[in-house]
Amino acid sequence: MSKNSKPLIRLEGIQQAFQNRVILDVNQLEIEQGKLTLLSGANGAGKTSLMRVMAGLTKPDQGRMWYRDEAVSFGKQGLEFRRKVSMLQQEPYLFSGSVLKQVCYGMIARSLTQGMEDKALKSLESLGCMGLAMRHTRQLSGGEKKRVALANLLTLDSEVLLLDEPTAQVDQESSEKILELIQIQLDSGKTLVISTHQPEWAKPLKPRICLLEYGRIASDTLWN
Amino acid sequence: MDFLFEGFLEGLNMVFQGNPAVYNAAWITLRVSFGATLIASLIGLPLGYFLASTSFPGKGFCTIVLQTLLGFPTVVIGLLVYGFLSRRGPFGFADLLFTPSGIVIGLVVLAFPIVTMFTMTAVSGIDPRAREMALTLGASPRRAAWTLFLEVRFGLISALLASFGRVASEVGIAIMLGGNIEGYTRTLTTAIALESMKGEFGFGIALGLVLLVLVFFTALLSRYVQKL
Repeated sequence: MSKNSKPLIRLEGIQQAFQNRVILDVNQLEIEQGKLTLLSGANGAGKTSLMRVMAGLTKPDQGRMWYRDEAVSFGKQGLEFRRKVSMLQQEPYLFSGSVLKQVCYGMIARSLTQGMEDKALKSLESLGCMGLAMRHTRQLSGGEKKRVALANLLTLDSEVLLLDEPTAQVDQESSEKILELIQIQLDSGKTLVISTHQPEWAKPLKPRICLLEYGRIASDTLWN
Repeated sequence: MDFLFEGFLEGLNMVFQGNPAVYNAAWITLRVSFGATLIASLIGLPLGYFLASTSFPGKGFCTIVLQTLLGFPTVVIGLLVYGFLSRRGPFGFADLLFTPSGIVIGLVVLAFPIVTMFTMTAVSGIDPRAREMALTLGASPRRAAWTLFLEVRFGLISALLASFGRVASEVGIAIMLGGNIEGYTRTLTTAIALESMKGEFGFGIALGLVLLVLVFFTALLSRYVQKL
């Protein structure tokens, strides 16, 4: 991170255990605003667990997190934070109903219902899945689900997007669309944290790569 | 065997001719069953959600208590509630014994464990990613809970229908707390018990047919909802 810039998200002493096994042990991690950070590592290295903490979905057993120098709360008090940071699940769960209804969910939850459907359709169009709008979410393939879930996040104008394996288990076309969108989000100043165990695809974006091993950050480098 | 056949014909005749005593008992049954199911759902739905979605010391004990209540004999429920509602009991001042409200209270005790356990099972079966998805899209914990309820709405409707079917066909509680007063607390089941003992077999069959139709349509509705 450049010396003059302040981190958008700062984590310190984060520890998380599952069934007496430490799955996350991050001494310090700072996420810079408007940049792309990749969390890389083998399966089970702790990428998803770390993202869940950063998304405010899991309260760590130990440690603290700050957002713009303000301590982040979890649970009921964490609503304001969760509305700034949105996460794309590795295998997204879509609610029962039409795709359009799903994409509108976040806007309804935030009471931003004016022009909601237009915004949802535009978001779906940007990911090439306008034709899915009236389909039931149960009828979608894995790749389509991922694109719809991403379209969902795009309607929310969150400051930070956490994408858990966005290109895993998707076809070439979906993958290209997603990468195109990541570039657009970066160009518009969004902060992105993406987990992947195959970081090669992101090389042209010159990201920062944090390699996780056994829940710890083994290396933190800039990929130039 | 002739009395069975004759009783059945007499019963059918009473149903189709609109015997007021039969339909009055059916109306009272519907009223107390709806009332009890409604109140039981107000307790059982949130309680079931809470038990399924949170972890706390003593949760296992609570589940065992609920499972015990599921198998509790209805006469014992009637007896306990009778104790509370009788003049010497803590709620004797409210004069609820031998009233439809008294029956409703007893039926709620019978129905709420059914609704709670069905809700617990339905909510426990929800994919954990569903709640995460709701929260990461900016839903408050309360809205997330509502979303999860909608995701398992068919299971919950089945819970309410199962509970309704159970309370509509219950007899012990209705007799002990209602007193079987004609036109006031006489339900289909208590009327069947009374008329059969009096030797009015046809009347009993007529009441039984109406009850059967009521429970059959509840089961049919439940099946339809599960298939949606």
